[in-house]
Amino acid sequence: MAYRGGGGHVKPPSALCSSVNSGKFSTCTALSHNICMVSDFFYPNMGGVESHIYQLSQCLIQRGHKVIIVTHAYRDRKGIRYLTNGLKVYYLPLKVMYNQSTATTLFHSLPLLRVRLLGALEHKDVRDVLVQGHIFLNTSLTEAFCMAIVEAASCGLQVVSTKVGGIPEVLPESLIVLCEPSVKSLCEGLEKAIFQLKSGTLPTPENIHNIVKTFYTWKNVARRTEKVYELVLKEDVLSVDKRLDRLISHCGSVTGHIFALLAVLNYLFLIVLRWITPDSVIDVAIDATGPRGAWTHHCPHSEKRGENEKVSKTR
Amino acid sequence: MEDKRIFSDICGGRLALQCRSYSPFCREFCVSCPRLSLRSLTAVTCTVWLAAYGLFALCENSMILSAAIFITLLGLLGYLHFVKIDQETLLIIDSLGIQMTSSYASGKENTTFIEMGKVKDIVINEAIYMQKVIYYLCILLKDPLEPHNISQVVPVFQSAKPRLDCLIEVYKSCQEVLAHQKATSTRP
Repeated sequence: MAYRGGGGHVKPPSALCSSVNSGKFSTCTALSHNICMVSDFFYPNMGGVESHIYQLSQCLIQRGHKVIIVTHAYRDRKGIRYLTNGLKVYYLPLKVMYNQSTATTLFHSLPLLRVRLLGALEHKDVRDVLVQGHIFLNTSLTEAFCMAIVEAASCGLQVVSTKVGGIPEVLPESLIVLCEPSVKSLCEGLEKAIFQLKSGTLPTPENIHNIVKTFYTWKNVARRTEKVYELVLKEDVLSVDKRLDRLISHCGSVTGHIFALLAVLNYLFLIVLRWITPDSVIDVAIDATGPRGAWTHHCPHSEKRGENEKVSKTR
Repeated sequence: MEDKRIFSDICGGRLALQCRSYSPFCREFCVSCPRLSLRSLTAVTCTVWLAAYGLFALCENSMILSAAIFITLLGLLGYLHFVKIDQETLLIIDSLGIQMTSSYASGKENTTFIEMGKVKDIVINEAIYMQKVIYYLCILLKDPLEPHNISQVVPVFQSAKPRLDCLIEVYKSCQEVLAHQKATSTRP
């Protein structure tokens, strides 16, 4: 909850090591980043994006990076909070324009089916409910990652889902039937899945489970995310005039100019804020995580990156 | 032993931190803000009077000018008596408690005392203040029913709003006193 002592002033080793808690394995990485995750969706709100950001942040902290999360306030939860392993969360007191906790969902009664509404389920009961079925129908109109379809596929169900947001990237084509977000398209997709099920062309639930379980591990996701950050770091930072040129050329003649105008206004607003509050009067935050982190342990300097990848035990 | 150092507040203004050590476990920290500047007082007075003169030119009612003078004087007195804090003091005594005093520009003083048995810890915390994140020193009070829980957070130096370097000085000194207090209270 607060800065205690001089933990933030430790000199950072170039190869660093952080562990979840003493006695467990820790991971070392050579390049450490300062990462800020910005999202409208975070705990105490529950969902796929919230879980994804939290788990990914924890894995990145374990890999020696400094991570903070910026989100909006949720009722009384505003200000700065610390979560597990010193993950710092800024709950900004911003007005919410719409309800963050509910995704717009398409409800449609399919007359051939008998529907039983189970309501909210305990996480431990999800598997027992899912294995009772053969097909999982997801009718989201908006979706970011959709953890539910991964859970369904992991339980061996054939997934039929609307083709929105990040859903097409979550599962391979063999495990999902993608439909347009319309009743007609969903009915066709469902009929296709039922036909595949009856004709026996679907893989067995065991096979589906074995395929899906290899897809997502948080450590793997963290490593892939790291690679993305490293690629981004290699790119040149464009000057303001080049950014404006790119906005105008890439976004169309009318929209591009509108975006460029908004970008100029944002830039001027930033200059005004810097004049009101100069950088010289802003205190540099004490690192909770990362190489200088007050919450994290350090390991001795290691020359080779290969050695950094090895797992070492801490006291 | 007395030590006076200059720091700055969150807006970049000058602050003076005076540390007095009456004994190893009785310390006083006094944060002094700059007094009301003649420049800002003149600027506010001129603005009010110019606005009043503009209204007088429109309405041609001399009562407006009289009211402007009256409002300026009342406003100044109210500001000095209820708003402008010249000095904030934190006195920490090992076995007794913590006393916080705010001295207003008019001479009025506000004092709060917290007995040491109620104090769980003193920490530096972060807060979102307007468009920026600031640090503040606060006293955590024990919950009477659940001693492991925190019942209240009492901010210190609320008016002066010193920056982190100043807060760390006070924090370290307070922790020395608290550590000694905890050691003596747990000793059989």
